[in-house]
Amino acid sequence: MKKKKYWFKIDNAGKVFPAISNDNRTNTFRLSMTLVNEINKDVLEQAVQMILPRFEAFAVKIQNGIFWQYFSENHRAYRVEKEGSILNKYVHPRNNKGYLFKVYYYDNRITLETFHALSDGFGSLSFLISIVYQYLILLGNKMDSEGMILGIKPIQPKENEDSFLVNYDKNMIKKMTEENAFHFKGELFDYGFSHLFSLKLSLVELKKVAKEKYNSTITEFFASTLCYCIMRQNADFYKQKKPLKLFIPINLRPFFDSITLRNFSLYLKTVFNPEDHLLDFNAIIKSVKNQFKDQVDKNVLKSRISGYVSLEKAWWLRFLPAFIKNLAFKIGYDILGTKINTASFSNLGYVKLPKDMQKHIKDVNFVIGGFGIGIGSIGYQNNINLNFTSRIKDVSLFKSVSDFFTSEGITVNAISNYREAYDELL
Amino acid sequence: MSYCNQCKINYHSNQKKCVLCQQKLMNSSLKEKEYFPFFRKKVSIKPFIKYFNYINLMSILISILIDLQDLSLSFSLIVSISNLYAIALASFIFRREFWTFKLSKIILISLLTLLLITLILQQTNLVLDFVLPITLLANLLLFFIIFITRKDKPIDMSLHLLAFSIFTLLPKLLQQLSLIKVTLPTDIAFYSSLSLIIYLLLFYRRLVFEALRRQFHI
Repeated sequence: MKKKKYWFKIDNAGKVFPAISNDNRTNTFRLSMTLVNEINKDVLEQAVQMILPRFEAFAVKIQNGIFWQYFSENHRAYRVEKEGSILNKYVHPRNNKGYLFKVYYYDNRITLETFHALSDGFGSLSFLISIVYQYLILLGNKMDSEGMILGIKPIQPKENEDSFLVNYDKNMIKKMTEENAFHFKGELFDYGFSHLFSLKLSLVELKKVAKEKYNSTITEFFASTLCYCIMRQNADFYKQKKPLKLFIPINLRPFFDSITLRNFSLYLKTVFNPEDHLLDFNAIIKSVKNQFKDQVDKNVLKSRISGYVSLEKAWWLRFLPAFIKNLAFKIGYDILGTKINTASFSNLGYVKLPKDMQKHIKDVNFVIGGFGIGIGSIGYQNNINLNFTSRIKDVSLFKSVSDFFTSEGITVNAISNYREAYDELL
Repeated sequence: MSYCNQCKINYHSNQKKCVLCQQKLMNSSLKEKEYFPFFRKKVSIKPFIKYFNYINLMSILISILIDLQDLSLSFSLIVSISNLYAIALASFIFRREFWTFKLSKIILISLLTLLLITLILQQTNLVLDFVLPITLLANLLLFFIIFITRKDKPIDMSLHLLAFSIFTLLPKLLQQLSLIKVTLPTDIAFYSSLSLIIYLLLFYRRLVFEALRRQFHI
């Protein structure tokens, strides 16, 4: 049932983001749907306003409490905006009517950019699908939801739960230490610009290579490709003597019977040491599969969840005033946070839409931001989009990956947001 | 669609050269669709605000330093307050924030201004007997009017009002410590704030407790 007044504690994964985010470290990610026809701004705005109250996890603004920041209800009318050229811009909590997500339109594309404190890819995808479904209905299309559209289902309290807290077990706490990882270095683009290099790959061709040739899942294949290419193309890697760590967020909902729309993911990590840089692709994919197998285990995941939540539950931390906590998060993240991973790769999986909706949607895309290089992938119909975003002026990883796919017989189609004139501008 | 012969990539976006190898693309003369808006530099107002704030802060520092040569603070306080007001006004105009947040700042600065001006006049009794209770009372009234008229943020406003009501009890405490001689303004402020606290706890108890629960969740 819809409520007028509600509030949430920020979930365990999201707590740190409001403190550490700024124009340079935006912690936002982007989901977009490309439609067949051009977007009607007014109808889209109406669709968002109709759907938003159903998604309480999104209809919030951030508030400062004495001990913690929290989310409280936000009933202000949402305004959509025309998309700009900077991807994954920082959603300032005091702008945008207090909302922590942005809905953009451009040509025939609807884009949702979400601040990570609010939700993860799963929650945002449900929200975007519901917005687009409502948009198509408002345009007069007759649609059968086939039970796949969350926006037209009744609200369930479990959608807004903090599943980290629900699955916390104080007897299973795992202490976590992370050593520093190898980092990409290079000059950054000005004005917060991120270079997007999007590869559109055929699902049939990919399956043929990943499943038939290497007997792996697509996530394992992509992770292995990225590790292989980073190690091969980057001479700095074996000079730096730091391991390559690729962080791969995993959706925890299927493991813990959760339907929350808020953050509920943990990262898996694939680690390779500098002496592994001469490994061939078969050895790398074997290692990645083993590392996945070791980490994708309910008990291992639960002990990691408990480890994170135990930090939040420490009495000394709970009683620290919020502004001191925020300062500590900021300093801690500056010292440690950015050093522990080389890159992040997030695979949101294959998007299934109702048949009536599919004929209006040409493409679905998922782009993650990041201070260095971020890689996101998503599948829809016969394709998988593998999107690289980089704030660094360097395309060697993109080239290395696309060369690898070509050598494996996979056709590479690309889209880039970079223009020749940007050499001077950025 | 344009094609890079060297990288074997089909480009769907509007490129003339391959992003990866800089080679000229085949069929690149064909007008492709623009997938992303072209980047244009925007003139940012942030550096101007920073510069403006810097000038004002320097003005405060210099005037206080000049004033301190006579071992007293007089005109520099007025200059400083004016500079602070200028900074606050500039930030209110150029930073898009919630107006209640702006209002709280204005109230706070007004209160400090009044107190400082009366201190400059070296009228401590005037400050404690009249200025402090009357400004607190006036601001309490202002908050109360906002609370009654603004129905969209009742939870936040109820807690602000309660906190400010409690703060308005301060002159009474000073009176008990014999620092305040004229009792009438202090008494009016005290009874007004007390009745407001009772009013809030009687009629808006649920809102206040909800706000407290949100604020103090540990």
